[in-house]
Amino acid sequence: MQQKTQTAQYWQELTIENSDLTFLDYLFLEQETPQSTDELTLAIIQQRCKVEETFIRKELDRGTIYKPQDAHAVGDQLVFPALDFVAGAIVGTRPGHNPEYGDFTVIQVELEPDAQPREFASQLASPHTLNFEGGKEALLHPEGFLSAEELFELYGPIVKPKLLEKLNESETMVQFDGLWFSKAMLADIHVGHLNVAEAVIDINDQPAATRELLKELDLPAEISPSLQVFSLNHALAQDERFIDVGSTDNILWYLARLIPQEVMHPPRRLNYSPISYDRSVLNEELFQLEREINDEASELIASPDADKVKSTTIVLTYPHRRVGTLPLTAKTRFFFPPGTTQRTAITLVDGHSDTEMPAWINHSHNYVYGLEKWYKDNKIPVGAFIQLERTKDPFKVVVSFKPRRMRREWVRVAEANEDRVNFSVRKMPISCEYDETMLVWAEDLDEIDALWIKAEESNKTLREIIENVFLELAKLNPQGTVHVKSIYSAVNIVRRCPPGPIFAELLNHPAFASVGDAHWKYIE
Amino acid sequence: MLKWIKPTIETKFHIDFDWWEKRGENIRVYLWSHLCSDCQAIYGSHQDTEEIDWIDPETAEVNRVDALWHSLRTCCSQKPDYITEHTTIVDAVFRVLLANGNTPLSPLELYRIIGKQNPNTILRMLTHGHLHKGIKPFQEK
Repeated sequence: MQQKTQTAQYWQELTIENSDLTFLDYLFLEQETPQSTDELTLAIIQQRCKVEETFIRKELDRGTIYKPQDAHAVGDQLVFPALDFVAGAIVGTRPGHNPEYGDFTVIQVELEPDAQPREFASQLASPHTLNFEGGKEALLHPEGFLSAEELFELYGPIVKPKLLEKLNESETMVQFDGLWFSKAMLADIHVGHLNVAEAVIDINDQPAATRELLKELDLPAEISPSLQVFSLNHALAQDERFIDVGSTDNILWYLARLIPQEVMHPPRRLNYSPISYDRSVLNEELFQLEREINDEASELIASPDADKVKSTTIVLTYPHRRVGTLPLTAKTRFFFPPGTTQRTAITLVDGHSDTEMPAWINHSHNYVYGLEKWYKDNKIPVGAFIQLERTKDPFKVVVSFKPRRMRREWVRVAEANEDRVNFSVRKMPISCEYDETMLVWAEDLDEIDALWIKAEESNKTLREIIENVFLELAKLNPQGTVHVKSIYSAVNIVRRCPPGPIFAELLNHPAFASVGDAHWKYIE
Repeated sequence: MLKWIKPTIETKFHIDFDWWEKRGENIRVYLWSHLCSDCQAIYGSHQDTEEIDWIDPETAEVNRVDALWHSLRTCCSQKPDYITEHTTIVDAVFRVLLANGNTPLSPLELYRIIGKQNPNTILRMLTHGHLHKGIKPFQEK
């Protein structure tokens, strides 16, 4: 007797039909406002419940609600709630026989024309689930009945992905920034409008909010402001000339041609091709070291207070030093405005000179671009400590290194030698604090780049690269041992790779042995 | 004439009602004795139990059923004391077949339901000596 929409089974087996999209079309027509997937999921649940209730009310109008306790007579028209509200006329009666129930009557009901009548209990004195108190309303909204909002809380997570799949497949619905609307009802944004938008951004030479651009477009006033914003956002997103350089909840449009290529397309040096490995072999010490290194490709979970920390320090790695970027990691991500597909324009402020540097966040590839000159001018080596500090403006972040008097230090220097990297120890001028284990120097960057490309194109395995750098680094130490962070740092000169696969390779390779304190040795 | 085949633990057994009839015994008396105390109270005896009106608890639709078989299947056999550790193997097999509507079952299947002894012991109990309660290998006629 329970309505189908009140059951988990109904929502689990639900298929979003074209009729649901038609309903959403009407909804958009009525409200003229783009809606989120959550709002549309709730609307679909409300609509499905309404459709069922309307159907039941209509069916109930066809006769008296059947209750086994009631007395019935031949000719009565009954509606059976437990049989999907089918209706039928009583065509006969007879005495019932079952000592368990006492005296009762059996009614014969013709539910379908030309079919054998089916029998039901009548004047039944013993309790039965269909003997409820009240009429239609009690049947439609019994005790414990869940509202559409309560059903959304329970089954929304099941319905939402189904709706999303249907919306994505649909050619009649469009989406921008998590909001949906009917394509046919969008404001007409033609190429002339887009050319004006381009000119506005070009002339001002700075990103523009959608509402600013709308002021120049003169769209018909009868189109609601929210629909104007959505329509223009959608049109700009479809046009390759424009790019959203804002952040979540703050859309700002800029011209793709004015953005550095390294922001639009991630530099190859940052590109990590995931290597599958068995994480279960890693031990607690290696997990701890992985957290310390905090590589953006490690998929580490941010600490609960990561968004409240005022400053943080990271160690600069070779790929980021080479292309002038900072990684967006579990530690650093919260220092920057949130985003998804945008290329967010921000300002980095030199912590020593207060010089402002334009920079860009590529959220989907986890890096901030704009530090190439700063690294070079300040002679910041791979392995240097880089500090980030919040300001009151979320789009402005202070970046600094830890300066100290310039000294010539013994440093591991990488040089390309055909298809291998060689390391030697030389004295180099260093004027900042650094992590001893991660410090490496590369003098001829072009040669190293060529080696990196060669290693990539020849499909050199990670194991081969580790063996190469390990043996090179080991010979620099009289004990022949190498710190795992040094291996990570050196491997990343030749191949972009987070610590996990490197550590797993060390553990799985019989020639490598841990000698304690994060140091490893090569056994012949 | 049906060919006799030596039963194995995979041979299906059932209750042969002809066996009861030939012995002049009324199996319905025996069925009634296997009802739980609640059902015995409802049906005072085996008489007038061949066709009763059973009311579906969800829809209140009425179906005509045999009271004894129906009660055994839907009520008595669902109770924990229907088969206990003190029930003899032969009684347990008989009760399982009753609860199953006399659908033929092999000693292997019976063992999986009863969980006592082992399939070979059940086979031995059913095939050694005289016929117990009419339980015999099922042969399609």
